Amino acid sequence: MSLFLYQRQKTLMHGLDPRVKLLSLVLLFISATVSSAIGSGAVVCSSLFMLFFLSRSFYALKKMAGLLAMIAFMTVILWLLFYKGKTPLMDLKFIVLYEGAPEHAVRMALKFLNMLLCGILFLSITPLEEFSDGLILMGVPYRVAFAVSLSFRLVQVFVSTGFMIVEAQKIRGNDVEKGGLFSRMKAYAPLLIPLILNGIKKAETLVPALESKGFAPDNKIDIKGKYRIKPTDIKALVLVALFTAAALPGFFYEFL
Amino acid sequence: MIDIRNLSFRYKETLPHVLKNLNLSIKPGERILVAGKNGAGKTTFSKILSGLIPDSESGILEGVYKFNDLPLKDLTRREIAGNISILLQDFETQIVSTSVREELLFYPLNLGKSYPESLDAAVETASGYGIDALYDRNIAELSGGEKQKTALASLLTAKGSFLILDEPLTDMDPVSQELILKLLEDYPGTLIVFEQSVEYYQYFDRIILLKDGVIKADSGRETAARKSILESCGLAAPPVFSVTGLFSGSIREAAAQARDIYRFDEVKYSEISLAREDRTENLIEIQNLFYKYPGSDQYALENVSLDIKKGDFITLLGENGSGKTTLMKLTAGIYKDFTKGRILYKGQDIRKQTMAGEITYVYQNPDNQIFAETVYDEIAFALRTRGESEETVREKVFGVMELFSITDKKESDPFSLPKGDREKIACASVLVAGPEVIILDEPTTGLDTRSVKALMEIITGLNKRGKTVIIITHSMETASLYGYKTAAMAGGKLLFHGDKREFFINTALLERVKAKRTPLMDLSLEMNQAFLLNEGEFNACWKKK
Repeated sequence: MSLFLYQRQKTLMHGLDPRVKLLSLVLLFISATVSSAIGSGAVVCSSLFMLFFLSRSFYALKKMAGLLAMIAFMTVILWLLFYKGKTPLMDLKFIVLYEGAPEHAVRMALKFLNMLLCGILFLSITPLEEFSDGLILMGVPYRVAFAVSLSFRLVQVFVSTGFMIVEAQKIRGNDVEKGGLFSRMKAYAPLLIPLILNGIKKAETLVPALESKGFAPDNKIDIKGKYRIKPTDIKALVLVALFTAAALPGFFYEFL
Repeated sequence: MIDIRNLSFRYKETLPHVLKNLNLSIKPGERILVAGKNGAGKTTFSKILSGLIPDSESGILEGVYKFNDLPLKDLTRREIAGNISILLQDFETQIVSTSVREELLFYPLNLGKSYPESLDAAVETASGYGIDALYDRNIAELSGGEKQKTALASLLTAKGSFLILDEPLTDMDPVSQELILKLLEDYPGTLIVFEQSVEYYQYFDRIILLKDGVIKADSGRETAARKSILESCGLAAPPVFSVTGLFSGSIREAAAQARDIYRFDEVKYSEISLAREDRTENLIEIQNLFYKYPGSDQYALENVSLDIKKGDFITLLGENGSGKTTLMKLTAGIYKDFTKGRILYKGQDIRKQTMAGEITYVYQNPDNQIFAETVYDEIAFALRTRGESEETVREKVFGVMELFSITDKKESDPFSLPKGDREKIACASVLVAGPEVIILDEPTTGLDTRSVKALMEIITGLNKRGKTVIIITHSMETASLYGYKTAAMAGGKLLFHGDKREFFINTALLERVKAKRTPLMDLSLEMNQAFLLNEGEFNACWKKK
């Protein structure tokens, strides 16, 4: 079972050059950030959903649905509580809800969601090696590019080790999925030690593992010929750039 | 050429030497097997040979190590890695990419080769070493054995002149093991393999035996038949030599020689071959089971039906990725989300029951289960979770510690003990809860002969006391010696379940599930077509003239 968001598929978006994917990520991220109004945020959101559809990556959204829903919910709650407007809408004694708070809360939730969706979409269509190759081709030193992709890989290592340890402890009657909050927290305690020890062990073995394959921080690798910019890449990039350009006025005019 | 003079090593000033005063020369093209039991110093030695010690792992290295007449410490990491490739014992950590293709490209690219050169090396290695089918797959989708093959193939892309392999076959099915060894026969450079046995002696022309960091023997392949020196190093001679005392180049030659020395006991043979152990009471019923991993569109298990009787002792065999572990995790109730079919335990749906304490599963890696500060607390955990009194806990923990001969280690930190002991602790910590069914996933992997024997004797004893035991294994030796039933899988389907003698005699079935007979089985067939499973049966039927 893969814990990565990427799945190999034969879609136009999966086949884009990694540089184009990286630049598009940046541009889409800008679009998400500058869209201050609910309307423009919704347009960005639906465009991203369309891209998920085109890249057949809805499975990734499904995987992340819980996290996305929690972030959206928490954002709405926090902004409802802490938004300081001019006219009070409701005075609940311990907290005051101001006029404009619900709209602002939805706006912020949409903004966060859009930013997260950009990242999820990028990771759904880009394997980690392409990610670091893209960075290298854009002039980032190999050691930095490799470290970025390695950090994602280590998350996978820790999560999969965590799953295995939970399974192993369940067999001994330590079921973290049962009971109330306190008993669940108590059940998690014994899992931390094997997780940390396994994590340290894996991190320790990573250095000899990498060095055994000739890796050194000052290495320069030659990946010329691995990728070629195609007309489709140019067209895709222009399209995303136009979309971002259309979204930019939203930064200056909140009603857009 | 490698030249080592008076080489000693210890990890810290305060710790004892792991390797002591080693002297040896390795010439280009040699094929060397370095064998020793757990703790003999094999992994440390392999890392020193590859320059990872003291480069990546610190320690105090004394003596001289020259590679092509130059001190190894004078070479850069890239120069060393370009000449000497090493497969680490923990091969999974050595896989640094997310797909097989990228993994095969990583090494040559890091050695400074251009992309087209690296791609050629990757494609050539994938087809040359039989992993073309894996070439476009994601690493996360591979089974343990497939990962081991990928890790090994990725080293060959570097085209170095020295290849060092630290226990390279542990997770592979026997056919893959044989295939890899045969393919390595064509490896043009020097091959140095570190193993815990001399089972595959025929693929090497020099055998070095290590014991407590000291070279005890350094000679030709006939060392594999020197029973006394092997035993003094904690190793066993291959059963063919062990029972016949003969050293021959092939099974056919050994059989010809043995026929002159031994006579066959027909009566004993008919007794053995007709003996059957039957159990009748159904304990677990697996009915038409289908299973897909979340997010996958392929069935990991397809229409599997299997009845497990109370008191059964089954060895579950099958090629890498055949679904053995998945089936057993479902049986133990670890996964309950099967697509179709049902699993009944004592007649009740397993999904409606808590299986902890009833069916237990011991993971391949004991470190995933261990967490307490002392061996005693580790074993007591399951009982304390159940809320048993300290008096009962003490009684049961001491009982199980005695069974596993680890009472003297009750105050030790489990992580500081050797792997054999950690495996025992992992078993003891689940068995203390008194489960009805014990499932062990590759319990013998990474253990030397003595540790395997000690562990398996305990497991056999538990079965004799009525426990139902299922062992997932790639070791044909283990399957031939222990248990009386075999189940075999291929491609997510159960192809056989029944008496192990019937399984091992069925050549077509063995091929389908990528299993093979042990050399001793082949010897007995070659001698007079009588099929004998193991050393015990051989000694009972063949008597010296």
